Amino acid sequence: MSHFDIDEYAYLESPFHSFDPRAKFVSILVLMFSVVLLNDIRILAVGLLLAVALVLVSRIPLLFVIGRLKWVALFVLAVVVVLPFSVSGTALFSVGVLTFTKEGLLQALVISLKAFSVVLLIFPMLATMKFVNFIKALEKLHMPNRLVQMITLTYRYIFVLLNEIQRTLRSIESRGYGRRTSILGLKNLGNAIGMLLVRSYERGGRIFDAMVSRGYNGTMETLREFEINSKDWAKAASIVAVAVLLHVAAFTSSIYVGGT
Amino acid sequence: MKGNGKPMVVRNLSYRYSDGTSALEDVSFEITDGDSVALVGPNGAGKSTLLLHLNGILSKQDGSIEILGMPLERKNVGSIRKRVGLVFQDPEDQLFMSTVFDDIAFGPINMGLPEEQVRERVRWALTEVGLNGYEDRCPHHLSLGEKKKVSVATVLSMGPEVILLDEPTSNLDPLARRRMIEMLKGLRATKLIASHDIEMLLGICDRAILLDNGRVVADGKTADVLTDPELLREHGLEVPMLVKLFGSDALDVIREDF
Ligand SMILES: Nc1ncnc2c1ncn2[C@@H]1O[C@H](COP(=O)(O)OP(=O)(O)OP(=O)(O)O)[C@@H](O)[C@H]1O
Ligand SMILES: [Mg+2]
Repeated sequence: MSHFDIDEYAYLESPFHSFDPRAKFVSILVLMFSVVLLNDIRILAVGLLLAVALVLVSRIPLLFVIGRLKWVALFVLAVVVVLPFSVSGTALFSVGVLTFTKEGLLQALVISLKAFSVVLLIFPMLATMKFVNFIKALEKLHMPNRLVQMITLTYRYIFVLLNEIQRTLRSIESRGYGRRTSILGLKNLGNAIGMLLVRSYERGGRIFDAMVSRGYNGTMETLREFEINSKDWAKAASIVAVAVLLHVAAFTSSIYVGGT
Repeated sequence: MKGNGKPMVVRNLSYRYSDGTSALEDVSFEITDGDSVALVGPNGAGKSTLLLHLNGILSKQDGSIEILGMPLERKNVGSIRKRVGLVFQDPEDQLFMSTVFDDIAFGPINMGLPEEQVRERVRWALTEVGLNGYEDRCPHHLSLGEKKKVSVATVLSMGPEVILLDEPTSNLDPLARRRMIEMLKGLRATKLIASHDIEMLLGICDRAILLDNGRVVADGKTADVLTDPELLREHGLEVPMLVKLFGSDALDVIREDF
């Protein structure tokens, strides 16, 4: 297993890293919603540029970001290929019975711009803090406690589970079952997966026991204070202001240019 | 408060897992306030199963259990758990929060202690297990021995009157093991320690209960039970080197050593 470290870039220094987790989470979330609700393709382009700028400011290595964007690109590609053929409107050209429409192309572009912008914004938002602080921020923002608990436990045990999967695969291999597909191999893999499920289920029970034996009564609380200062407020205010400005711009351009 | 000065009274306890494995059979013993008792026995003897009963995680099927003067029943289980701490055999089960601090603070917070006191207890517990400065570490990045120490700290921080430990010294390096032993020796609580580390038990405990196949086969002074090579061998336990060398004087040697 390559050593996957969720907090890998949480220790860099940038305006986003020093940003209070709660303020950061909320303000960038507002910006994300603002982008998603836009429909003007030119303003969306501005939004994408903004997102790129924020990623640059956050100092997260671009290679890492691009590596993650691959998967978004795959999804977007599907949309770009399908939509222009499936939305009706002015035909640009046609392939057999399929017509490629201008409206479809526009819609595909709008969706791609939104998807890329939002995904890019995730980096300055989440990769710039330790995951624990993100959970803490959710807790402090009064997210439902059940949800906070679920995220906490997932974060804690996903690594244990990965470890167990890896161990299981290794022990299958070391006992002579190659990765070649054969009925026997598949059967063993099936058994192994079954065992994994049973083990996870039982572990879940034991963890619950451990929680209960330390007085768990349905809520999970932690202590940790975030200090929000005037800089945080200023950063959050600017991001929210940008989010609002995008819509003001979209609104004015729709009045003067006649809308899209 | 402690009833009759016997924080733990177990009578004719039997337990059968749902798959039919009989793990405990007719187990009876009492523990006097402040005692340190060793629980020994080969793999599968029922040690962990017994410990899980003593703070109400497994509910008894047969027999009776009285903890701190209260019968272990549904209505008491909450208050019993506040005063009886259990360190699980597998630290992976014990540590479920995302940082060491949060994990050790979990118990005290649930006990409703004020924040400053919670912090104080976390600090103290970490010092006791020798892990100062580990507050912000994530449990999944700790070594097995470190996880074990944190597990012990999560229970220490609750300040239990009775502490149940399942293999507290497994996976510890020699120095860490020694520190753990010293810490446990200094701890003012009634202790029941399940372990295969007989030397450690000789060092800490006055009394030993030997379990095999779910039954109590010996119960007496550590000096008698754990330095009896024949008894130990008969129940699949290793005779410690010191006992081989010094016989029943081993106890004095070990006590001096720790
Ligand atoms: N969840 C379970 N379901 C079914 N049987 C179990 C379960 N847990 C334990 N057992 C069985 O109960 C018996 C007692 O197990 P227990 O874990 O109490 O032994 P132990 O003395 O703690 O052993 P070890 O020294 O290996 O920790 C064993 O035969 C074991 O196989
Ligand atoms: Mg055990």
